[in-house]
Amino acid sequence: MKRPRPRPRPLPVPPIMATRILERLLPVSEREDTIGDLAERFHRHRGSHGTAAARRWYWKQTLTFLGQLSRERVRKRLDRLGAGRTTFPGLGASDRGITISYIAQDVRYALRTLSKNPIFSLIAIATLSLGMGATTAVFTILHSIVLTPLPYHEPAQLVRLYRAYDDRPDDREFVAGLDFLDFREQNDVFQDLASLYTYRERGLDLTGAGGAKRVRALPVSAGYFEVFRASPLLGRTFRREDERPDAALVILSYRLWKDQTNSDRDIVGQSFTLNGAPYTVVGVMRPNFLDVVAGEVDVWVPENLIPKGRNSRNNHYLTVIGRLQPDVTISQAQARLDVVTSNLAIQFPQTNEGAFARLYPLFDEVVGQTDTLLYILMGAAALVLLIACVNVANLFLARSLARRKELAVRAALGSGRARIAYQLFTESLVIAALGGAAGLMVTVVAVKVLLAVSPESLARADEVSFDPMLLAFTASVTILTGLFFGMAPAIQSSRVDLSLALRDGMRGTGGVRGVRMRGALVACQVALAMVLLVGAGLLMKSFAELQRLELGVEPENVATFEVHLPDARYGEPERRIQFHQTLQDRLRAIPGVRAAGAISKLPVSGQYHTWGWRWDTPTGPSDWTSIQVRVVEGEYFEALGVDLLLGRKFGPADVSDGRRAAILNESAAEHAFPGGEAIGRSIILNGKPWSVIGVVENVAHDHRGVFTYKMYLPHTQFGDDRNWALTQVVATGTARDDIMSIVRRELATIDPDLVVYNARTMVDVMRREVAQERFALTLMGVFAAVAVLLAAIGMYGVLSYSVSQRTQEIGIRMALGARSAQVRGIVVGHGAVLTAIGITIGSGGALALSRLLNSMVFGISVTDPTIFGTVAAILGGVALLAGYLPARKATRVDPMEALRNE
Amino acid sequence: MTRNALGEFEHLILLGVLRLGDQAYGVSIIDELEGRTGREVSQAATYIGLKRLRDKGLLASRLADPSPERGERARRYFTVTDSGIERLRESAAALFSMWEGLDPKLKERIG
Repeated sequence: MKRPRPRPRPLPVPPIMATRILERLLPVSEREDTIGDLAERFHRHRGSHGTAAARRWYWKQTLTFLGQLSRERVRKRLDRLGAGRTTFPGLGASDRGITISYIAQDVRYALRTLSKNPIFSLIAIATLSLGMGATTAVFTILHSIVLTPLPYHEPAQLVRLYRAYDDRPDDREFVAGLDFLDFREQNDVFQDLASLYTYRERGLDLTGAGGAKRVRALPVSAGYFEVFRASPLLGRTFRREDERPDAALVILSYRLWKDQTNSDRDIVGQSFTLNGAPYTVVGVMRPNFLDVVAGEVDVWVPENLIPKGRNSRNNHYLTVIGRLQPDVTISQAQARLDVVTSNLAIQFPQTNEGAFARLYPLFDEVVGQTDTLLYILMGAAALVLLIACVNVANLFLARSLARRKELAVRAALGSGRARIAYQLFTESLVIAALGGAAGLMVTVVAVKVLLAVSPESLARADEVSFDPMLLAFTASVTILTGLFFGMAPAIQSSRVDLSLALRDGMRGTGGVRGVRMRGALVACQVALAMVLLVGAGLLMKSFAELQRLELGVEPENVATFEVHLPDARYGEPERRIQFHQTLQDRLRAIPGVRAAGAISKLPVSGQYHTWGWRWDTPTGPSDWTSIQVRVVEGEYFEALGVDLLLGRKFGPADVSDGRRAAILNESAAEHAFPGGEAIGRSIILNGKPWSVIGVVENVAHDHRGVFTYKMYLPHTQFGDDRNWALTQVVATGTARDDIMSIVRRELATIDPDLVVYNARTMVDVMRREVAQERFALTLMGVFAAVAVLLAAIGMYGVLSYSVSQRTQEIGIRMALGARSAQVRGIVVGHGAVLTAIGITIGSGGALALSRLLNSMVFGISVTDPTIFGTVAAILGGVALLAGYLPARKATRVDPMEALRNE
Repeated sequence: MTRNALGEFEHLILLGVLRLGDQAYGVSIIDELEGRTGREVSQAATYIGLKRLRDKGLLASRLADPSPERGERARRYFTVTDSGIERLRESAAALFSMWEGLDPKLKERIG
């Protein structure tokens, strides 16, 4: 009987696939200890460099093993056979020893021929590695992000629930607290249904040694971790009885637990001070718990779901996620929910009439915005791979044709066809192996670079891991191409009439057919490069359009930052209002500061608080319409250069007990009160009347210049609604690098426990929004450059080869009086014809494929003729350049020399 | 015959094992080599070196100590055999005799 003992906490293990490879590689007797050594070093590496780096390290070690052990085996065999042994290739290979000696001989022979022809070898290896590397890198990212399901148990069961309306079924609105409770109560299709707080205002201050620190707190309902099937490392998760405002419970993230409590295993049940109030720790999550919905979270607190206060059926602020029962499909669940929502609509017609709950797979939700981009990039990568294959095909074709004579000699000396084929196979394999090794390096570097330049908006970027299957795939595609094109013609050539092939005049050309085939391949490359260049060109122009776009703000020399006020000391709205006014007075007093203000959500960074409003019309009150609500303080409009069109801005008169004042943006004012009639009119928002005192110009809420109805309310009058996490904006007359340190100093004089949070310049805020476009553009640019480079290499190869084949012809022409320019013309003309064919085909392809980019480009047509023209010109120029060197070589042909060879 | 000669790396491994006494196993040997030579040592190269030395009868080994961070896999501890010691002595003697009297020449070159 085994004594039961507590299971040790599972450690992250070394990559399983790599371990499998090692297990196959190593002899049984040494497997255990060698892999154990690696595992031990893996864990040490993980401790100092992190898990991802350790995994990469482990892979590197595995691949080194693969290389070194294969070399060791070859060395041993060679030893056993005796290095000096010679065999005659024509002999039948009946005995195993001789076969092995063939392999060794072939490898050595291959290495020798390849090193004699370094340009061919280098070009082939570079082509293979570029094509494989670029493609595998993009496939790796795509595979990790798009093709791999969420990193949870049974990810297909995970759904997200939105509120939508019968007349707007595609709306994705958040869910009201009471509705969520009903969904949860009347549920028989979910194993777990949970909610989390949507808005970011919920941060908590962690005060301790070393000053106050703002941590990200996420209020969640019971069942939240259960939806993800995530169990805590210590303690428990939240229960339904915890869902009240005075619970004061907290679950710590692994990181916070490690940093703040020094990994105290007895922390559960102890008190933890947040916002100056004691919270009882109920649990600590595991390090590998990844929240794909909420992102990085420091602590989780129970969501208040007591049915009063903010929990009405009118206040939609919850994000709801769930896990379906194992045998329930999403449409079955939807049907069940529809019954619940139609009952609610009957019970609560005021709030729930015409509304329903709509389910989406969580996977679509998380990946949704990045997948178009990545599919386009994957298409581009596939094109690069295709070009690389064509190039490899071309190279091998040329090579095998050029070696017809050599092969004929070998055949004449008695070498069997199988033996010759084997030799060629080995050669191709050696190149492929070298190219593959270089490709692996390119891949590793490229993945690193891609992740480094990839925007934060690329969801789940931290989950990217390297998949050897992908490299195997791209490697086999390129290698098979090389083998096919390298061997087929060669095998055929070994059948030709030997006496013909061996004649001196026969220069081992591939004949007309070979030249034509190579020409066709080059035209193909030009066509593919054209498609990629057009794609890159379109993205580039679109990006330039975005940069030129008028967004309605002047972001230069504006610093932004947040200060979150702990409820313990700033619970009273008056104190918060007072704080903001003091802070802004101090900021304004800094020499060089032009204006200082604050807003609840910066422009050009997305939609946020969408609330319902209505107003009086001549025929009675209007319908409820949604509007973006922003709370502002101080000189916000001045700071960002938002101009006032009508009326006045908020001022000292707009005090908390005064007449409630609101400012509309131009489009909201025109919508509600056409003809510039907005000033002085009354509107209803949040159950209260507000008087319109001003109209300001429209400001975009995203980087594509989209704006909606927007209403600004003064913090002095609306500061009592909640503890607004206002973002401060400080505009200076000129660029100031020291502004943030001055801000920190001023803040410390007001309240030394407060911290500046999320300090960024407004320019950075806006740049981040175009990060995705910039990323796509960079990648397409790289792909296009690789494509053009490969096409140029192909072109150069074909033209210089044809020059060497036509030496006699050129010699005769020159002897008959042809001038250099005419000779150059012949060569360059050949290239021009190929390029023209390629551009024509490529234009057609680009025209067909550019429509896919429709959703990616902004402000331009995907058939923009200037881009097509420019791209054609670039390709033409490159072709000329690639043709120039061979052309110059042609003019150096010595007629006498050329004719003497005849 | 040349194949039986001790390579530089094998030589280093042999010395490393000797230094580590009864604590010489894969990881500690790599640490010792990296720490003393200052160059990065791949595990594969070390593995092959150790195997060659065992095949030549210069090292002996025994298995012990599985632990969780090694995925419950055993360690292989190495010791230098008598013929290993003998070989080291020979090569040290050869090296010392080759070095003898060379110091001034080296200094000349630097000066």
